[in-house]
Amino acid sequence: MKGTFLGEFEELVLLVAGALYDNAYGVTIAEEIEKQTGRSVSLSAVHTALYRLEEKDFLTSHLGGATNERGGRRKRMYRITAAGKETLNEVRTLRNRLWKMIPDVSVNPG
Amino acid sequence: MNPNEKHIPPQWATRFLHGYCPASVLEEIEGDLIENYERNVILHNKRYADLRYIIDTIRFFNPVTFRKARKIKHRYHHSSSMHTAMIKNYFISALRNVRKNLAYTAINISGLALGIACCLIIFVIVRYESSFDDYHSKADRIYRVNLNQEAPNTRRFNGCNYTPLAEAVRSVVTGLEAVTGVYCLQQYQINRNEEIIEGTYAFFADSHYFDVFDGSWIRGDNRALSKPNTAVVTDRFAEDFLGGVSNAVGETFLLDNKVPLTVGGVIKSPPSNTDHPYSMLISWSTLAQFTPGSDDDWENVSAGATYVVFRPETRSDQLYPQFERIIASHLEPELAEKTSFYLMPLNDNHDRNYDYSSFTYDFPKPVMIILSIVGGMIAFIACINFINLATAQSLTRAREVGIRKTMGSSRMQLVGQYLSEAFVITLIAGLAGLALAKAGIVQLNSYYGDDNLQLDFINEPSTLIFFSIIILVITVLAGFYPAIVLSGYRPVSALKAQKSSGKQGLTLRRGLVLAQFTGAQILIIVTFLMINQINFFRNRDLGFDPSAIMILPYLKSYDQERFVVLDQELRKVKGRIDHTFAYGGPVGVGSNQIEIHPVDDETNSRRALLNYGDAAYLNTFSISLLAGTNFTDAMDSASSEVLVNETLIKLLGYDRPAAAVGGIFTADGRDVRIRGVMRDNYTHAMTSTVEPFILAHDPEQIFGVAIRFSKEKISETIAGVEAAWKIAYPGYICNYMFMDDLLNREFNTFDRIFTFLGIASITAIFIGSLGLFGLVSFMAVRRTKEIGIRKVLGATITNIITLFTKESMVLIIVAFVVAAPLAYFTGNLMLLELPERVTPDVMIFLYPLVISMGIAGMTVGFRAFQAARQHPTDSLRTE
Repeated sequence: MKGTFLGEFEELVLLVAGALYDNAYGVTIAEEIEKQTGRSVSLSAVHTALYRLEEKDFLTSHLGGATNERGGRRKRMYRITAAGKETLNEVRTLRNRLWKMIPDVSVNPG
Repeated sequence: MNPNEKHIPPQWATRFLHGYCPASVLEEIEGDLIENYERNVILHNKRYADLRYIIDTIRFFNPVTFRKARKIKHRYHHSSSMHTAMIKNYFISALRNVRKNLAYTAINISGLALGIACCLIIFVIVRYESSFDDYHSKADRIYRVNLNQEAPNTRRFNGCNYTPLAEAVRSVVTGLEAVTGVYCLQQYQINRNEEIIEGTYAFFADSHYFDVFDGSWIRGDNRALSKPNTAVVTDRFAEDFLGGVSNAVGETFLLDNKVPLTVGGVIKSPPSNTDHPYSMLISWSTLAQFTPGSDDDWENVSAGATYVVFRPETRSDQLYPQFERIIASHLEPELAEKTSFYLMPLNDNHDRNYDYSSFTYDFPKPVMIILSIVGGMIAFIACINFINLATAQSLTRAREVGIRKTMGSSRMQLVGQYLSEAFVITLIAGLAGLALAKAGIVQLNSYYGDDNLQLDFINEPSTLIFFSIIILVITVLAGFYPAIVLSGYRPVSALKAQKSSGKQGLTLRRGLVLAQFTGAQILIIVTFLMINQINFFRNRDLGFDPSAIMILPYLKSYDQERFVVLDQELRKVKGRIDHTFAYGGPVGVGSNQIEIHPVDDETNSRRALLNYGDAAYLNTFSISLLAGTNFTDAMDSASSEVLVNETLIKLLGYDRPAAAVGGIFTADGRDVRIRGVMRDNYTHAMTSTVEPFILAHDPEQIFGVAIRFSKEKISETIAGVEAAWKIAYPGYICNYMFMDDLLNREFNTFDRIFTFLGIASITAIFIGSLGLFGLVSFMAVRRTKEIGIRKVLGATITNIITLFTKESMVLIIVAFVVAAPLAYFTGNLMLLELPERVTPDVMIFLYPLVISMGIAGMTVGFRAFQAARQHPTDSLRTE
């Protein structure tokens, strides 16, 4: 299914955006990913992923109100859509199915 | 690290971000970047934060960012410049503006309407003239076989060819689909039941004519053209002379009092844009009766022409060798060597290839190009008016721009707004121009006596396309610059209405006015140059008054008895001074080109003109004899004695006229003796050179009578001549002509060009002055107070008028300095085709200057006077 394909990083961003719920925007998402995975992510990569996810209708966005932080610049806040959640679900189901198919032998070390 | 310390990210990276990042996503991206930067400074250090910031600003420069930016725009800014509601709004405010500034709008519209009308008329003319003979279904494969012949000093190009050529081509040449020969009678008369009818363009044509050309039969078919003494008439001819199409077939009449013809078919009249505008086609086999011997005449070229249709695969280089064989087998060997044929595409005849003669007339391509350039120039001058007035008004509209921008209008929207204003004005002007062009074309058609030119959108979609293109081009040309300037104002300074903003466009406006008047004056000067050229020849002293000479050119053939009768009758005509039986007059008309050389010295061959006349010739044309004796009335047969002019005897080596008398030379292969020497007289209408001229005496070569009369009672004289003609030639129409009309034919093409150029230059000056009027009115309104104060301080009306007109006058003079050399160059270029050019005197250049200054001075002065007359109390009170 074209268009619903999720890249690994996109999936991560989508999951984090869902998890942060009301406080999901570029910086917090990047922060959260760093915190959870320990790897350093660039802000632009997160933004690009967010824009792509929004094109695929997995996220919606709106501009938040002006704050005194960051020079009064508004934030673009993201929220996961039903379609986004459904896709995450599908991905998880697929993963689980595949997990179950792995014979125990193959996971044994050595 | 002090968390309160303000850290600033690298500014160059920020500038870079601002440089590329679309406004719609800049805010969110920059916000995130700054927040992230501050976090990084705290978590890591400034160096790390700077690095991340730089990397991120660079990495944001990717297609996804821009795509997002575009999407957001569409989603949130529904007031895009192309939205229908917006377009409606543009037009509403455009119309409001048109109504608000009625005076300026009127000036713009009338100027543009004139310009558009000019373009449309020229388009219709050019389209008509370039459409000649395009309508034939085989048009792209029809070629005319033209004749090239080497003459002593020149090459002669002839569109006509040997009359029997078509038959020869048909029987010998391969690779052709069809061949047809025609023989054209440009003027003819028919006698039917005591009635004499005059017609133009009868073509002798063979039965293959319609294999080459298109035509549709109403009665009869191709077989009619293979029967002798048969004519095929057009439906128009049948309606006019034979009592309708249904009665026409079987009717009989006499052609030129020589050949009886029976109508064997009726055909639809050809369209007017053809070189064969026949009213009648006559079967080819009749030609032998009409001009005996012509069907096998390989010596003289008269009015015959040969047309061929190529097979699709045929190339012309396959045909030339075959033509060479025809030339070799039919022509005298000496002539054959100098002769070659040229296959000319039929479509080139009227416009592209004007070296070769046509049966109708030529409309050379360069003339079309000149016409188009002039039309474009006028439209451009009108566009300049629009630009000038719009930028002059920009100060008034600066506030509007300021407010619109403050209310959130984007620059593109403002450009759209002003362009639509230009469009509305151009469209109104276009409709007015359409009406003007219609009227102009009606005028033109009546001038040429036909309704060939049509401005028709329905049958000619190309006209509609051209019209739309013109409207669009003018909209952009006129509206683009003002739109860019106006929309570029910054709201703050526009709302403050700084005075300086009005001055910004001043240099530009001056430049544009300069361009307008340069263009207009080039047109006037070129017109004057050409009028000067032609008038020089038209008004020069020919030694006789051509308007007091009448010519009867239609004596059908030598007929001694009728000549005697006509001679006797003409002597009785009131107002006649003298008359001569002659073949044309001494200038231009009716002379034969021949070769002369001293006896036994063929290498010294020269071109000369040969004319035939009798004893009265010298007196009729007021030519004085310098030596020798005139012909006498007693001579009644061909004589080997000739009269020659001074130029000729000088060529032969005689220094005095008297010495030449009795001398012998060879003319056209025949030895002749000089009987008398005539004073030199101009031999060509368009040059001042005098060619060697011979007047020979041979009654059998006479085809006309020239009558000199006193101009006091012209109508009586004409009636007398007609009566005399009736007695001598009862069955013929009396086709008298005046010598000056005959000479003027040579000038006719130029007269048309003058009329056109004259109208064009007046239009150009008029439009330019309209623009000046608008500019001055605008200045007058803006400077009302200044005028008031000046008047209070003691300025007179003259002072104030000078204040306003001085600048325009200076501009016109500068424009003249630019225009004069350009016009001189262009004018000479246009007259290049003429054998001789007249050096213009200074006055030719001064008149245009005076005219343009006069017209502009009057319009500007008039407005300035109005402004100056205002009472200071009124003008100072305005606020």
